[in-house]
Amino acid sequence: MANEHPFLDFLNNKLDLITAIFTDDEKWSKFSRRTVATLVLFALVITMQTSIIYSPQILIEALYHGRGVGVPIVIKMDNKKSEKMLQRLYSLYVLYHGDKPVKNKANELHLP
Amino acid sequence: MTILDYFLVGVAAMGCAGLGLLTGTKGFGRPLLVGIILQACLASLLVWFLPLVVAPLFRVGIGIGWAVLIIHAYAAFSRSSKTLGQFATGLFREMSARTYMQAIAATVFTFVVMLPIHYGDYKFMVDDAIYFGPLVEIFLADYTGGIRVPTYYPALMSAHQLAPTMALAVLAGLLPEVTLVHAVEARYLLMSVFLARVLFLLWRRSGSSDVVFILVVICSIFLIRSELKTLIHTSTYVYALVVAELFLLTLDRRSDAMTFLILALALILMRTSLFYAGASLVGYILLVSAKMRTSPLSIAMILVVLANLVAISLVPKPYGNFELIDVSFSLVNPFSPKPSFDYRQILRFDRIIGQFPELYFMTAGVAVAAILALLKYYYLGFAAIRRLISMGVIAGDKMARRGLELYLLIMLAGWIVVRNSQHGITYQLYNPASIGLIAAMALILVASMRGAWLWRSAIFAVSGTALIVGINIHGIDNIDKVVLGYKFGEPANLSKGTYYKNLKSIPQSAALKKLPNDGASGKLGVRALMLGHRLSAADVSPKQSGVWDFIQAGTENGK
Repeated sequence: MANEHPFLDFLNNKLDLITAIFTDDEKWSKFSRRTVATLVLFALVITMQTSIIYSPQILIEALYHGRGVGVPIVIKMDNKKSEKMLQRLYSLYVLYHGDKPVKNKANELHLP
Repeated sequence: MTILDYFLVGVAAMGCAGLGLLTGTKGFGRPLLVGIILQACLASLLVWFLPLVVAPLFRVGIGIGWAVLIIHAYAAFSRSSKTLGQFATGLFREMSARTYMQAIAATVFTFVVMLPIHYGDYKFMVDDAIYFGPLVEIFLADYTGGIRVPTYYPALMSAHQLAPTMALAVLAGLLPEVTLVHAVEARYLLMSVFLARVLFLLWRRSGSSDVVFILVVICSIFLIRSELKTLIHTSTYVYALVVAELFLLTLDRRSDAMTFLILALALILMRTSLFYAGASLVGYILLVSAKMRTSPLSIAMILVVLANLVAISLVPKPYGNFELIDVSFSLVNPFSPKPSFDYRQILRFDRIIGQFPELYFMTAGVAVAAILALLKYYYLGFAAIRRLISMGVIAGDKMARRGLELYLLIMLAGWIVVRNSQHGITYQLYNPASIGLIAAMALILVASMRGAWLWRSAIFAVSGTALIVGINIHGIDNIDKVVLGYKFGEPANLSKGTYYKNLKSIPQSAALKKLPNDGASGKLGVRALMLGHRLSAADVSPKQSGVWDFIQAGTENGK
């Protein structure tokens, strides 16, 4: 009888194995710990990546040299809060580049 | 809302509780939620094809529920060998005076806390036309075929949009005339009653004095105010109740796989953008409980939810330009050049860090948001649950406990990994908010246990710091704004909404026409719904019935 439905038996065994992850305390704690560790690692990677994109340097480049791919729209020109932020970014720009006129890059090809 | 309306809502709620008893759920509160979910699932499917029959079906369902209640009561009476008088008063005699005090205090507290969504104080937002438009329409429908109302179809995923609305429609099912005001009041009653139930059940299990419990509750609600508001003010209100019920399920000694399955299915339907959490829980229940795999009720429920999800792709799309809106769902690619972490909302949620808006624009803000969310919601919630298990307060069987842990894990994973393309992470912010609700309930319970002085003092210290920081920044005059989030007597910004008293101050004929100070176009639609008129009526053009910039093209379903 056991060999009558080999595929179903195989499937049942696999399901039992998965069930054991949840019902066995030791296996569950190992599984959940590993999952959380993976997720935290992943979160670290995307946090770093997002913070690089949101960094003032990137935002300044976006402001003065045209918006590139992936630069978030955090500055709206008609917004009071954005105006404040623009001033702050400008002071950062001065900090980085000195009080020099902005180089005009309009002739270079770039995607908006 | 008259006294009769409140009475009829109560009658409908009793009927829903009776219907919930059919699934084998015990008690009163849980069958009520299950009964509402059962009817909402069926109704949200039928609305797409036959809105005409939905309201009569509610009445039939409520009638069946009452029959079940009467049969249950009669069976209990004939088993109990008491006289009728003893039986009728038995329930009230069993409870002690302290239990009564707790129940009344919890109810009064939540009804006061929820006052901002009471119809007298609530600002009827333009978006409410979308949330509650279908609700008013099903009571007015006199045509066959799909519902004729803008349903926000592609932008918000309509299955979830209709299911919470229909949950309120059940409660309003017996009212002679259903308007937006009734719907909002039904939401107020539903949320208040269920949060009172949560507080009451936690209170009964608390091991320390009442004063400590009340202080812990007030501090916790102050700390998670923004999360609660996010859950309640959008169409996630039923989802919040289901999440709370998942936690309460683990406190019971003998948990019920069928109730657990129904709640997991409700998690799918009440917010489709988070379907993966509910779907994983359903898979988990089917995996560990062999009985659920073959039970006809569970198979029928799963089919209804599947049909709900499939129906969205079958119904005619209400908007001509819907292909412009991308509804796809994706996993995060950490190497993509787009920012993957919308951190600002997490910072705004927090009572202390939210006071420093300059952090939103700083690079460190991303890291702070990620650490804050991981610690505050996930780690704290998990630690509190672990502690409750070791103390024996979470006495439920392994299935419910592990189900709760699994839910927390999946919500964490979803927040980090899953994105909906049209709104980015916006929908995935409901994950930290819902985990925050669980964490708050677990924390209230842990901190009110005997000898848990460390937890207790941590909650008091954090909320005290938040209060001091808030007062320092906003000034002592604005203490109500710091604590409650709004200021008494402040002139409200009415550009995107209206109040009930504003509606009453203008004559009805004028209310149904465009007023000069109507900023957003949806305000006329909101007023029409508040007066019980349909959105597609001649005096409210489709353009006036929705959110500005959104409903521009021809809108009626199927046209």
